[in-house]
Amino acid sequence: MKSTIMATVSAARRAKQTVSTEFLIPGQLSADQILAQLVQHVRLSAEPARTVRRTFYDTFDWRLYANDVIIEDRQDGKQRTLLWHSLSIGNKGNNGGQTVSAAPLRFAKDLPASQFRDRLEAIIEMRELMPLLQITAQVRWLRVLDKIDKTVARLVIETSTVRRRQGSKAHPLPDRVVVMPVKGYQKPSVKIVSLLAAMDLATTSEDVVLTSLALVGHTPGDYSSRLDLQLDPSMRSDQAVRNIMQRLLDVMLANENGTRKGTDTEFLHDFRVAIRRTRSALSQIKGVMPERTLNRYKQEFAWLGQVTSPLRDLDVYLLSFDDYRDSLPESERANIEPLRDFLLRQQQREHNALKKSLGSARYRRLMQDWRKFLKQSVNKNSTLKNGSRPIFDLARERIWKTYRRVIREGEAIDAGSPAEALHDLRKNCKKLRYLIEFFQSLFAAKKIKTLLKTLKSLQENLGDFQDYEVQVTTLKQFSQRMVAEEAAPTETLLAMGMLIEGLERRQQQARDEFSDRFKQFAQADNRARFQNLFALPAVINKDGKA
Amino acid sequence: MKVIAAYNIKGGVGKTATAVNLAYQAAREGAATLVWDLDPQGAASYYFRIKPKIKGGGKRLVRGQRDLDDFILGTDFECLDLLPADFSYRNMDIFLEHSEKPARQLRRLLRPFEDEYDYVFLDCPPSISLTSENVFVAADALLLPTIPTTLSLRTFKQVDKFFKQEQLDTIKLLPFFNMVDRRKQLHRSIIDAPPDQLTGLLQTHIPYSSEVERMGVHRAPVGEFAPRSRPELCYQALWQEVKKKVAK
Repeated sequence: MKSTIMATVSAARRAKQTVSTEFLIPGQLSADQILAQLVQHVRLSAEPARTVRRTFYDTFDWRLYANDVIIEDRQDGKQRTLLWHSLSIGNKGNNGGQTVSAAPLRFAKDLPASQFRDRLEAIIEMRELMPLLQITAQVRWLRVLDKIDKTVARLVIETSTVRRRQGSKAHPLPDRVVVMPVKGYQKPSVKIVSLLAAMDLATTSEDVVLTSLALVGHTPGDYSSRLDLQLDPSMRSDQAVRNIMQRLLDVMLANENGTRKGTDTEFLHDFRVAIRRTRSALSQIKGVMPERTLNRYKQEFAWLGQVTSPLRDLDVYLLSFDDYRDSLPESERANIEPLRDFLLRQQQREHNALKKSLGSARYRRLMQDWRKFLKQSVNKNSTLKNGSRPIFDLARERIWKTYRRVIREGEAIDAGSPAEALHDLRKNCKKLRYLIEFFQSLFAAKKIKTLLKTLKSLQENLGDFQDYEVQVTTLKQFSQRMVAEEAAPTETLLAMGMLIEGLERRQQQARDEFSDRFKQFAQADNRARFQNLFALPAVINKDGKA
Repeated sequence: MKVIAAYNIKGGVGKTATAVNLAYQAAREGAATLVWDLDPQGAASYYFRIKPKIKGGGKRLVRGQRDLDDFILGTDFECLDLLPADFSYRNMDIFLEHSEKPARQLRRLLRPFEDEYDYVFLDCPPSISLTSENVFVAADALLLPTIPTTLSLRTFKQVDKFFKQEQLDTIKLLPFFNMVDRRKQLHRSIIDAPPDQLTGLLQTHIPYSSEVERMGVHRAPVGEFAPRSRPELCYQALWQEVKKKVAK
C-alpha cells in the first residue's frame, strides 16, 4: 500500500460545484435493463464491477454526527481511502479524502499530518473511532464518452447490503444509480438525468448512511455525558434527586466497558465525572435520603472515586505529554522520553488494578444495590426534612447557599493567602457548578448559560492552579520512583527538573490571574443575576421556568 | 493550495509529461488538482483530450472579465481538472504587461482557488519571459526537468542566476534528472556525480522511455495505460518526494 497523502478539505468545496443526482431503482427494473435503454442514446464505457467495502465510524459519544459528518473508510480493491461523509443538507455525500495505509482506523493522532487529520482531530480530539456499520456494495462504474472518447459524465450503479459488523445480519439496501457530471460538461448529465426520469426512476435525497444506521439499530446521539435532564419544578425533591442519580448511574454503566477496555481514555473520564457528580449530589442535596443509606453510598462512591483516580492522573499526564515535551528547549526534548515510557508502564499497571476493582464483588454489589435503591418508589409519607418539598425550592436554596459561600471564601483571599484557601474555593466552585447543572432545566437556559460562563472562567483558573501543583508533586514522586527503578538517566532527571520549574512558573501565573477572574465572577451584575434567580421570590415565566 | 510549476528555459526536456503525470498522481490520492496549460502549443490539453481553446483568448482571461473557473474542465480522472491552453497564449507577455504589477498577475488569478484545489500544476512554455517571471512568483515549487547533459546544466545556472538577481527564493528550485538514458556514458557520469551547483536536486530521476512518448497515442498519463512500467513507478516516487518538499 502506498504511503499517505495530503488530504483534501478542498475537495469538499470542489465536489459541491458538480452536484450528483441519485436515483433509486424500483424493484421491477434491473440495472441491465436501464443500461440497455441508455446505450441507445449515449456512448458508455463500462469498467469491470468492483466490490467496495465502506465502513463508517464515529466516536462513542457521536462527536462527528453532532457535526453533521461521519468518517468513511472505503476499501476499493487495493486502495483504501478515508472520506469525509457530510450529512448536512446541501453538501451531502462524500467529499474530501485521504488514502491510508493498512492500519485500522482508531485515533486521529495515528494519521499522518494533513489537513484531514487536523479537521478530524478538531472534532474528535483524543477519542477513539468506532465502527458503526459496514456497507458492502457491488459497484459498476461507467463513463459517458463524447466523440473523441473524452469522459463527459460518470454513472455509478450500486447494489448493496448493510450490516452492523462483520458476521451480523445483512440488510439489503435499494439499488441506486448516481449520475455525476464532469466539470464544464453539463449537457450529457442533464440528458441522462432526464432519460432516467423518463424510465420512472425516482430521485432520492436521503442519505444512505442515515438509512443504514436505522436499519442496523443505531440511534445517533444516544449517548452524551451531558446532564440533559428535564425536571418538573413541583416534583418532590426525593424523587427528583433519584432521577438525577439514575441519569448519572446510566452514564457510569454506559462507560463501564470502554473503561475496562482502556484504549480510549475518555470512557474513564466520563465514568469518573459521573461518580464525582453522584458524590456531590449525595453530600450537597441534603435531607432527601435516609441517613444510613446516604452514609453507605457516600462511602462506596468515595471508594470508587479513589480506585479510578490513579489511572486518570496518568491518562492526563500522557494526553498532555507532547505539550510538556514541547515546552522544553529543543535540545532537552529527547531526554524526557524515558518519563513517557515510565508513565506508560504505570498506566498499564494501574489499568490492570482498575479492572480488578471493577470486577470485584464490592463493585458489583454497589452497582446492583444502588440501582435497586433508585428504582424504589419514594415513601409518600417521608419524614425526611426535604423529601416532599418541591425540588424547585430546594434547588434554589442549595445553589444560593453554595454561591454565597463561594463569594465569602473568594473575598477572603488576598495575595498572602495560603494555597489551601484556593483549593477550598475550587472545591466549592465545583459543588456550585454541579448543583447548577443538576437543576438547570428548572431555570431559563439563557440565564444559566451566562452564569455558568463566568463560573467556568473562575474554575479554569483555580483548576490550573491546582493541576500545576499536583503535577509538580507527582513529577517529584515519579522521579523518585524512576531512580528507585533505575529507569532515569541523569539527563532525564534534569529535563524533569526543567519541567517542574516551568510548571511552577505557570502556577504562579494562575495565582496572579486569580484576583481578576474572581472580581469578574463576583461583580455586581453577576451577583444580581444569582440573586434574582435563586434568592428573591421566584418569577415564573410562561414556560414554567424561573 | 500549493502551486507547482514544471519549467525550463529549454524546450523538449519533458515539462508537460512531468506536469501531467505528477498531477495524475496527486489526483489519484484524492487531492483536488488543477493543471493549467500555459503553453500555447497545448500539449497538456491534448493529453487530456481537451481542445486547447479559451473563449475570448488569453487576453480576456488575464483581464479577469470572466471568472477563471468558467474555463476549467473536468478531465477523465476524478479530482483532476484542466484549465486549457489557447493559441493566443503566445502573446501572454503583452497581456500581462498591460496590467499593474505585471509580475504578479498569475498569482492574483490563482488566488480564488486557494480553497478549491490542493495542488495547481503549471505547465509552462519554454523561454524566460514575463510569463515565466509570473510563474516564479506564483509557484511554491519550480520543478526543473533536466536532461543530464552539459547544455541542460547550463540552463539551470541561468535560472538560478535570474532568481538571485530578482531576489526570488531559490529554495523553490527543484531540479531533477529527466529522460535519463543509462546507456549513455555522459548521462551516467552526471547522474552518478551530480554537479554541486544543482542545489535542491531531487533524488528521483525519470528514465528515458517509450512509454512516456506513447502518452500522445493514448492521450492519457502513463499510469493509465502502463501502470506497472518503470517510468510510472518513477513518477510515483517523484511525486512522493515533491509532495514532501512543498508541504514544508
